[in-house]
Amino acid sequence: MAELKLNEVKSALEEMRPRFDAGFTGADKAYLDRVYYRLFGKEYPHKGTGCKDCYRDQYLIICSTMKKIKNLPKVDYALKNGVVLVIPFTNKYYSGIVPAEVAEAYLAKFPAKANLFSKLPDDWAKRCEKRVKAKDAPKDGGETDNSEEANGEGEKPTNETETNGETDNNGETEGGENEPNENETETNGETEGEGEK
Amino acid sequence: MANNCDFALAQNIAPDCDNPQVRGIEADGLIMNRKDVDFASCVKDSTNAAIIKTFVLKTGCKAYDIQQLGATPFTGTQSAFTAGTYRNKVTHDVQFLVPDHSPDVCKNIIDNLANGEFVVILFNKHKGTDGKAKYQVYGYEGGLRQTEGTRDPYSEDTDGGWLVKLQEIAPSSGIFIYDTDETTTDAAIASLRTPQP
Repeated sequence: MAELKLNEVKSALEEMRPRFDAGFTGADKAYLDRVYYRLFGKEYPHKGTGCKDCYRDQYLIICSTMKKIKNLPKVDYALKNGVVLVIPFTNKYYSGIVPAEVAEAYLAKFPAKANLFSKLPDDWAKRCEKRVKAKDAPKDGGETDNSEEANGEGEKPTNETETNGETDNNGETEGGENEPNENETETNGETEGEGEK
Repeated sequence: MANNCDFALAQNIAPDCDNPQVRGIEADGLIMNRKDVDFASCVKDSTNAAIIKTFVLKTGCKAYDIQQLGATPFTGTQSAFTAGTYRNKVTHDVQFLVPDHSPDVCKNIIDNLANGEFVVILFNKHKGTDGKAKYQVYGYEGGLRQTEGTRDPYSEDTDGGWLVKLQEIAPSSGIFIYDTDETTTDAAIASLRTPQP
């Protein structure tokens, strides 16, 4: 599946605008779901909202967000669907998009588990090595939530105590650009990103 | 080569009074293309081959919801002994209603169901000890293929939707997904539905 690019997303949104009133196609809806997940790191809450056609609302939210940002949120590490990354000896787990510090600490300990990631930077092994060197070994099998972790990307720390559906953990900042998922706080009861057992 | 085909009983046949058997299936299920399952990354429980600890989809692939209405969702779903020449097997039928007949549904669902091979995850009402019996996988071994598909525009039952039956002939009587605990397993199942970033 091709990487989402800002200009292509904008073009696609423009292309599906005429179908806003008549109703989006199945392909449109799948695309909107994908873009929403990329922007906000979670699924749109289709269930329980009572809206007649949630995809129209979803489309409007995406369009308004796209106007505010210069780049799509950067995603370095994402797990394949179905995989839950459990941090040993803690009650934390991750699925979907994983913060860089967590993924790198985990991969440093379990490099063979790289096959469980759907998205990895090319230099992930070097990054892991660098992270381990910067902080000896990660404690408890990979959880490193110190914001001073330096991998040169200015990542923001993830809130380790967030509950399901309030995730904003795909927000590796890209040079201070606007991040739509930073101010997204609604809950949808879905489990993606980070959860707490 | 080790021969582990003992086929010897290893447990009493008796009701579990702490977790009495409950009939029925929840109204929500998941379906995915069998070719999207990353079998190489899937991990079975080391002590019980009927449990998949890690059920993984390939990069960019996701599962789709099946939502059923009525008091007996997925009615017609059943498993039955099937005599074989060299080994006896179990025939698993999964039946559900596609409650729509429109161009999108015909193109994206009905035509593909008729020719593809699928895996379905149904949520048993009987959760078993620790929730181990909650998520049952059909089609993991042999793959589900459509054996029946009917649409009666005047049907009182289906209201003109498609009634579809998928079938798998497998060596196992049941395969379940369970990882660590019920919460982690819930997260893993939920992550199957998320679009890839």
